[in-house]
Amino acid sequence: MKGLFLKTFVWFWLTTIITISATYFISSRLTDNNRHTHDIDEIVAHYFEEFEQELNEQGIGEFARELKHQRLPRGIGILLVDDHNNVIAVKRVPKPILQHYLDTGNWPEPRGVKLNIKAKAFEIDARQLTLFILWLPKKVHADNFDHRPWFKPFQRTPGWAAFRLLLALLVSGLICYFLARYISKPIVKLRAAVNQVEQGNYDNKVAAEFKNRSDEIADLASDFDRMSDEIKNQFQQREELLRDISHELRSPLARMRVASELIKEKIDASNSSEIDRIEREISRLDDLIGEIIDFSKLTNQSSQVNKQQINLVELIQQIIADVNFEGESTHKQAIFNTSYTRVDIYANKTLIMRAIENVLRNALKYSANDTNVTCSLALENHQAIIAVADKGPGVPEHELEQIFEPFYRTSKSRDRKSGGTGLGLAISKQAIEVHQGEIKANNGEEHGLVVTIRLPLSTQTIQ
Amino acid sequence: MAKILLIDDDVELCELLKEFLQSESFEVTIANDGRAGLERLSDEHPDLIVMDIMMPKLNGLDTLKQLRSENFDLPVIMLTARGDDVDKIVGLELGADDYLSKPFNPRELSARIKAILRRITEKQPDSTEVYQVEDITIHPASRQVLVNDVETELTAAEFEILTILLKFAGEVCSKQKLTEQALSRKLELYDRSIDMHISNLRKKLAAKPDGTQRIKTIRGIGYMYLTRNIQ
Repeated sequence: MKGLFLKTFVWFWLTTIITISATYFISSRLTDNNRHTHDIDEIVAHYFEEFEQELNEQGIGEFARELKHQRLPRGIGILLVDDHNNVIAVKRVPKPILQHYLDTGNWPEPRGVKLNIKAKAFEIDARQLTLFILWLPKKVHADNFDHRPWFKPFQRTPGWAAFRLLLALLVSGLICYFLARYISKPIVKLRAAVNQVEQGNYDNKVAAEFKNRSDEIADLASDFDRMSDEIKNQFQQREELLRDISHELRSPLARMRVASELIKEKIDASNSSEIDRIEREISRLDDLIGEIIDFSKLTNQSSQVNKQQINLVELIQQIIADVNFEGESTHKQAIFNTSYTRVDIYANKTLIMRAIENVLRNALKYSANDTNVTCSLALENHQAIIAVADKGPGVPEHELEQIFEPFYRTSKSRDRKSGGTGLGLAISKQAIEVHQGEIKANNGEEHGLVVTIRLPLSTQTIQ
Repeated sequence: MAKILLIDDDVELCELLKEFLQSESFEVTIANDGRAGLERLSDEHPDLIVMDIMMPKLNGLDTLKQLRSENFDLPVIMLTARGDDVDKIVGLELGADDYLSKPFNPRELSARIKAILRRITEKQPDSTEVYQVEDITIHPASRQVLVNDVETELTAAEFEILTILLKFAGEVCSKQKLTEQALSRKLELYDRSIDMHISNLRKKLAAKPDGTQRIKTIRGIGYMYLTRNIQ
């Protein structure tokens, strides 16, 4: 889940960077000295007008008092002097500048900044007055007249802006990193939990990992735990039900089997062929119950559990040993051909074993005595391909798909002499499809049936 | 006449089996759940137990566990639901001597009972024969196994298998041979009895003092008890 973390992180950070840059840009535009020169001229003209009027109306003393409470735009200072350079009223004129003016009669010219001064003379109450309006760019305060000398050289360097920008980026990057982690980490954990459930591990509780949180994600985690408990419950109930059904159906069969044996003892042994028939039917019914239960387990996907790495080569060798052991009496043999020693798939071993075994058993069943069934294992497009070919009569073309349907029997073998329950290949199909595989049948080039199973490989573990 | 204790909750099946086994000249006692079975044990002193796995109160596996904690030698045949491999494996792990899946041919049951009983009675008179391979000593007469002079408890089936493996130490013993000679029956399809008994043996005997394994699996064939010169 690096993806979500990376995406969240990059997007948040990018947004932050854009916001920071935009804010920086706009604020720097706003404080630009030259940009408002025109506006300030107007303001200054307006103030001159206003102040003159006020001076006329209120008189000098009142005006001086009023000026103290007057609100002025930032950076504007006012000085009112008489013709002997006596200060009548002053507001926001830095002392060094004022002193310089009073001492020399000239306004100072601080280094590197433009100090704007406008003056206007009035005659009020027969006194010659001069009103100065100074607008001081912020830098006048900050640099040239700052009382903190240590701050000056540092602040004035061009690196200062870069440093501030870098700091902003670093801090915002750090915050975004933790935010992205905070968002993506629980999702990674939840995903791991989902994978666990998929593999049938329902007891892995995820809520405990979120006990420090009390938000929607923590709720989701506990909901998830409840859900996996519920699935586990249903799964177990289902398993138990199927077990019980199997047990209940087989109990009478077990009794019948013993009873038939007792009958045989009580009657003349030469008349027991009908009883043998009953016994055969009992074992057929027994097989059928087993297969129906297996089939219903499969169709309900409840068998998605207990997956593990399986080496198909070993598994097929084992299955072939088992079926050959059974086929010894009829001299039918299954032969395994492969050039690999290891082909790994990730699957439920029992199911895959059943699937392959049913196909092999079916092939052997329809083969003539003293013939071989060949099973081959090859690889193609990250898939394992298991092909089982027999030398039996084959299946009519139009029935090739139907042979995987439950209880389907080809028209040729409908007489049931061939035995079997009619569920073998249907179980194979289900088991293979549960593993995202594919099973197909077609008639071989000469004669006989070829059943091909395709299963996705787990990883590239082929030797 | 050998005494059989039949433990199964299916009352009717018990009656039928009792009739059948009596006709095969066994003496049969019935218990309908595990707890009752264990209670009967002390009064009846059966020679062999036939027990179902799925039972109310105390199920077959738990009963077997309890039984094995007290009485190691008493042979037990488990009756399992067919296709339930897990039960079979667990049963054998807990020290059952054999299993049959229901529904079964009662003749098969009686044949297996006879095989197990014969195995036990036959071996008993065996004089003072002793097998010794390296640090393991077996006294068939007293059914005693000594590993480094420490006595080790084995079930009847495990004892038989170990005896054969030691008799042919250094040679491969096929699963067919082990099944026929130790369990006195034919190897069946998907028969994992021997594998489970071997796995139990490995656990009980542990590795040799030098850390090497005692019993080697010969894939697809059988097992071999390793001796120092063939490792």
